Amino acid sequence: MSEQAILKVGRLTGGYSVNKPVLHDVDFEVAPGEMVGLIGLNGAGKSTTMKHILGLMSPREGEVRIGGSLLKDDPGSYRASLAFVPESPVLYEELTVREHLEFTARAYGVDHAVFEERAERLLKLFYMKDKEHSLSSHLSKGMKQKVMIMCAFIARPPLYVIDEPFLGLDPLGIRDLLEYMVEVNREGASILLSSHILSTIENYCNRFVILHKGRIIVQGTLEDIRKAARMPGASLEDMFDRLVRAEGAGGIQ
Amino acid sequence: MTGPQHDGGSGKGNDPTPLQGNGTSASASKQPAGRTADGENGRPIVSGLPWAPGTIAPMTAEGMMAMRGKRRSIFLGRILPYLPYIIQSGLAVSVLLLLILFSAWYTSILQDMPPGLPIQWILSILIFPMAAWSSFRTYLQSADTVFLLPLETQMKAYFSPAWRAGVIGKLLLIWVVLLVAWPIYIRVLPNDHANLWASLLLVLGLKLLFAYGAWQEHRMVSARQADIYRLLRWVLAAASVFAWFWLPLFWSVIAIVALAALYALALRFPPKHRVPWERLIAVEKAQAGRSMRMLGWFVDVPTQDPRVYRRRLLSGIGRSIPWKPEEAYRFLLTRSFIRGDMLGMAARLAVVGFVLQLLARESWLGLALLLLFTFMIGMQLNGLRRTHADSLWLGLYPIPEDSRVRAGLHLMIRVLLIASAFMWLPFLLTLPSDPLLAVGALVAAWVLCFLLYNSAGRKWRKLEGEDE
Repeated sequence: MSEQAILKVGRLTGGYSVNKPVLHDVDFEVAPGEMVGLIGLNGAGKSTTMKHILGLMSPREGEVRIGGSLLKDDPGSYRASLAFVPESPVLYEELTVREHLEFTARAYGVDHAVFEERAERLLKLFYMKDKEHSLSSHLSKGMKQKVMIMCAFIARPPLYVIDEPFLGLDPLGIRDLLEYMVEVNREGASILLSSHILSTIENYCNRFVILHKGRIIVQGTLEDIRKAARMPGASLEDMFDRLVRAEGAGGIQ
Repeated sequence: MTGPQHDGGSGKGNDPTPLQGNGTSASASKQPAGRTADGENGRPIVSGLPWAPGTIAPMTAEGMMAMRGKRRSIFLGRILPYLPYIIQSGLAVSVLLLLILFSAWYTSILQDMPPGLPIQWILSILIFPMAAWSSFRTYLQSADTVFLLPLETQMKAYFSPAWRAGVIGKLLLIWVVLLVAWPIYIRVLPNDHANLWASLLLVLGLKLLFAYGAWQEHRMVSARQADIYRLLRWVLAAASVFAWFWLPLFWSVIAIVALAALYALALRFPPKHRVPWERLIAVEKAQAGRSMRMLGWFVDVPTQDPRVYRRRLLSGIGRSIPWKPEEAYRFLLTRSFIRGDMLGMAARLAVVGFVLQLLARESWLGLALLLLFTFMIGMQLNGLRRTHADSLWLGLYPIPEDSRVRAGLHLMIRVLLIASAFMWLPFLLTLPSDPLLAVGALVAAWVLCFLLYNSAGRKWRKLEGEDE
């Protein structure tokens, strides 16, 4: 990669217990302006990888660098370079939708005027304008997910780590999210995205990392994966099926 | 205290949900009920349930009751370990002191009855809230809407112990109050019709009736109707108790029977769910949270989901906090504080303190009470340290590390200064007559505020250091 990667996961081995690592030698990069899909079965290690990137777990071996630095070197800039959308919404029950956005903007040092402008746009885009003053406990699951997504986009960091963002979103929400991701991508931000909706992310991601049982079985562009799977012109879903079953996924053969 | 199925809180991962297991544990059937050998280390696991782990649970009435008992013991297992700390925290001494003071007062009042003691008022006001107050611990969990829903028609067996426990505890309490107050009552009104046995029987009847009513309120489809019936329950409880102590015997009996009959009839009308799952789960969650929060007054306990109150009037507070990352947490904490329980607790203490100052402002007792209430509010505000202690976002957002402690202390001193100034206001009336006392009280209270602030600062920083 010619440019310096915004995210570099280097030979990462780690997991919940010291003796039984979940991840083995996971090694990939995300370049500026790139959207990378992290895909795998349930329990393949996607969320564990993300937790290592977020600094919620420490690698047993290997390292994670954002913008060239480790979390321990410069926690402030590491954290400021990253926004996370979790698989299940994690909200403060005492805050309204708008206050979540405000808290995030304050934490990331977004200018007040810029915040107002972004908040307005996001609230309209995700059809949440009429809910902006609702407490989060009064929102549906999909709406809570939208709050998480809006919080990430209000910060506008160089890297987004997004775990299963489509869960619970309505069809318009999914479309708006994808368009917004393309927009921030075009402006130079990078996105690491995990999802099971392969047919959707196939058209949006520049590259894919396929994880299976904590190891990367293949990574690259759609063409690279077609070559690896020896399936010219095949869809991501078909290739994923073949590659993972070849590694012994169980189920119907 | 613990239920018969108490497993010492070990849990051992035995999910209390009964519809588990794959039915493969043939060897387990040779074990005594509720015991099996742990496959890995051979130690017996006591599940506390009358069937062996790994078998498909029989959902008989016995099984249902056992499951509630098991859940109850798991809950107690969470609470009981804190008991020694609570006793150490000075509660035991305080309770003992209050008991001694009360005994002394009680003996003196029996020996020297003040003339014109409004015992009818006192007794009515003491008894009626206890007759109306009803709550049930069902220990229901969210997962029950999936796993127990199919058994909805058999849930009566599960709920009956909850119902019994809800009634018996409160009945005993109300009986104790009645028994303690009775010697005073018969001294003031020796010829009244309300005799002790009849009164004890009456409160039993009322307790059963209003507990039944409260259960029906939970079952009502419309939350609005449930609210109206709750109000009705309290009004009728007051009416019945006042009727008993104020009306002549004949009319009081007629009134109580008529009210009870009308109430029972009225309960039949609103449409109801067979089992009000969602409401019961919400109520259970709130009650469990309340128990843990009460523990939190004395010891550090894992925080439960906070209760949130909208409090629109206060929504402007916190808007002026500087817009920079170092102050971002202060924004979050301020919003949480104005919508959380802690503000309610501090405000209640401040109001009680204010009222007491009105009575005691002219003596040094007023000053002592002002300091005591400031101290108590300070103790409550120590909970600010634990607010959002486990928040994911505080770990991920680029917020300076010490901003949690700083923001907590910042809020604490402000609330303390405002609350103590508010409680001091009655001293304004003392200002012309005794300016030294009035001004001295405010100065002393504010000095105490800063002492509490400094002590909290040291303690919090030390605890934060230990946590890391």
